[in-house]
Amino acid sequence: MVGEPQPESPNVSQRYAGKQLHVPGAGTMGISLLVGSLSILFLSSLIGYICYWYSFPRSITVHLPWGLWLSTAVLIFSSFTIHWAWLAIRNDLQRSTRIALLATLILGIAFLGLQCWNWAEIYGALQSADQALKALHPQYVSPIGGMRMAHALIYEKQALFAAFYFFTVLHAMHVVGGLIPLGVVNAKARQNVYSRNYHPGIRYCLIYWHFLDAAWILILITLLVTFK
Amino acid sequence: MTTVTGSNFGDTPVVPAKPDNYLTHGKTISSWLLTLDHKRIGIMYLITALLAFFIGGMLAEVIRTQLLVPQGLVFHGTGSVASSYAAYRYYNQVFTLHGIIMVFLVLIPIIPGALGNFALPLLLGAKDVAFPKLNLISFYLYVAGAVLAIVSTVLGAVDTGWTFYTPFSIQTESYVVVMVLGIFLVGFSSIFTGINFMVTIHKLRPPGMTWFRMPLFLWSIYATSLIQVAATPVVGITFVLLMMERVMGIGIFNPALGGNPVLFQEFFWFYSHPAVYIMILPAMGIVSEIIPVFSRKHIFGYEFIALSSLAIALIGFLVWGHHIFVNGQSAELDAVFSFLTFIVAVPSAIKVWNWLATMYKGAIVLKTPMLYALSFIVLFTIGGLTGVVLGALSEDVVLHDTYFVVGHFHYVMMGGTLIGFIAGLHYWWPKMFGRMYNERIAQWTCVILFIGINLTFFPQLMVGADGMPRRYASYLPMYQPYMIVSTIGAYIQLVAFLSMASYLMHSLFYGKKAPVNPWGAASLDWETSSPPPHDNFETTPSVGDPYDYADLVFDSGINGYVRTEKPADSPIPVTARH
Repeated sequence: MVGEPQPESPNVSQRYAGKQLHVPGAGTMGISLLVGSLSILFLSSLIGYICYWYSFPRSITVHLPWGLWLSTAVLIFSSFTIHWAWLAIRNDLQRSTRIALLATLILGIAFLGLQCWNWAEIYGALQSADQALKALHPQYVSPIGGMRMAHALIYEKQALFAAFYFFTVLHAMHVVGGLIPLGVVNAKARQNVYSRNYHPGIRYCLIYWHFLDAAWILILITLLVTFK
Repeated sequence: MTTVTGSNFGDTPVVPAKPDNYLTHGKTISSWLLTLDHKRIGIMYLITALLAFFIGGMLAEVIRTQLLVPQGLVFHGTGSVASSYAAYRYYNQVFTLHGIIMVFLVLIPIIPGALGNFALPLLLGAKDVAFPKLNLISFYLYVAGAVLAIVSTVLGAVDTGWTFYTPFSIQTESYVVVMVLGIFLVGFSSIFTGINFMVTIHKLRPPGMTWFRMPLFLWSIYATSLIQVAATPVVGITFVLLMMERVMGIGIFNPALGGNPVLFQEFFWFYSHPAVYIMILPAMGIVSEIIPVFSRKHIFGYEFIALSSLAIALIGFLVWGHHIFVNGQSAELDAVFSFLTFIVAVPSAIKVWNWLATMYKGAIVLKTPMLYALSFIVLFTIGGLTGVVLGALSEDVVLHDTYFVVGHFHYVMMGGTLIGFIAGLHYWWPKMFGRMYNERIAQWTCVILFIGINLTFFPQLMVGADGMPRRYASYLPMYQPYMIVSTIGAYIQLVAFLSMASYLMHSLFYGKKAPVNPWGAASLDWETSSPPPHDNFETTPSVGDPYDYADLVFDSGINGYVRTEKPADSPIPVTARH
């Protein structure tokens, strides 16, 4: 056999083209499995928290910061912009793709900024709740590190704030984990790497971004139900 | 794909170059540490996991030595209760580390990580897994987790038991957070491996290999990956919550803060029971590969073995409650979990039955891999049936937390997973390193190991039925005879493992060159040279029935099997088919 071998089928020739594999559909399946696995992670933690919350006396009122609504709006909007980027590249609109991807990146960073503001807000609420409890129970000491207080009110307050931080930080870490590849995809889009037929990076970011959105909405609903 | 170029037909004589294989493909250290070659990653997993196994095994010997005498031989006080208490704390650390190392660093990753990585693309006739970089990341996450485990051990070894039950794991002063973080990383390594293997099996099957023409090892790896992807995040988040308990005082598992320790157990076992199937399913896959090869007979009931792997994976998600029978679960729920536990025994029994039917009237060759596969069937059956005993609700109430449980899961883990792994290691060893080991010594080692395992763990079943609790550093003198036999068994195992280590090391350097197909297997991994070249196959191998041995004949010249053209008019021998 001299010269170029005839490929048996497109799949096989691509698979044996070299050590660097490009297997059609593998990336999408991989990212979908990863998103499925991470969804189980979020769902199980939410279920655990709801089981715990169920035993609360539910006598404490902590208001969620209104900035949460703002950050929710920003995240949902970014889900639309990345979908726009995906539609644009499928029609080979390079300029629109670049703009939409950049918008998604900026909105993602803005979401993180807003979450930082929310954490500061809820920290303030934590301080005032501590003050209120101190006035009610003079023997009460700070809960951080000290686990020996007995009053149900105190642990309910502690658990609510901890849950708020736990879920929002867990989600924010996943946002950070999405922004890094999104930055890479942005840079690649500026170099016109993607086309109508080849845009795996955008598709993976799209799937992941919709997952971030869905996870956030579930978290928000849980927080709304458990905080009054 | 290689093509013969014109220059080879010229006048200059062609100097036969030393054949390049994956072991010699790059010689620098970075060509190993940064490799994307699934075979090298497999070897690195093998070395790391065997190191972990050595440490865990030595801790096991310490445990058995401690239990030689009722008051403890290694850790014992100077007479006062307080001094005994202080000394026995070290025993808690030893059995905890033994458990953590063996479960998270050896049993879970060793077969998928080492043998799966090595053999899976070869069995598919592929060049590599679907995501080679992710594969390397998985390996380093595993190493990072192992390093954190060492760090936590140096700082202050964990003494909670490998289950990290709350509230003690919240209160103990040992470095639970570091250890749990390490296991979290190992968990993500496991998830990534699972994703990688699932996508590989979906997308890289060669043309002609339909789902029901895959080797059974692939089915078992697929079922394992399914569990890894779906169950591991649960233990990941459980351990994150446990860390938050210790750092922030969330209270979710802490009764002092209104939390529920049984919730931790539910979460923990929701992963850790399916994790048992992460450990055992790949071993079953290996046995399903070995038994037909060494019986020279087509596997019996292929579809049943394949689908029973999936059945085990799915039903395995529904039985976690049997760990919590006596911990305050409602009686109704107990009954449901007990019933489901009986159900999960059915697919395992289907497998065992099909293996026996494969061997029936086969021409059985008692080579080392086959001896280990047979040991697997015996030991796993004992382990599995004692599991059904424990799954029976009324019996579990009596036997819970006794040595019967210890005996049961060591039969499954040691006699099942580890023996399955060793069977696979001996089966693929010629392919991995291109060398044969000393068959006679290997066979005797298998016999010694089999005796050692039974001597160690059978008395534990008996002493447990007599009522001796697990995890105790000291015990009543009435149990001593059992404990002595058990310890002797553990030392016999040590001898067997040392023998195995020495003949395998010897074979690496002085072993006979392995032929392409020493066992006469028909799957694609034996179509390439031993050891395989960097790219696995020079051309796409053609896919046939992986269990059809009719056209493989032994060639004494090369000491291995070669494929012959099947005469068109001669019928396939009856024994080659089921």
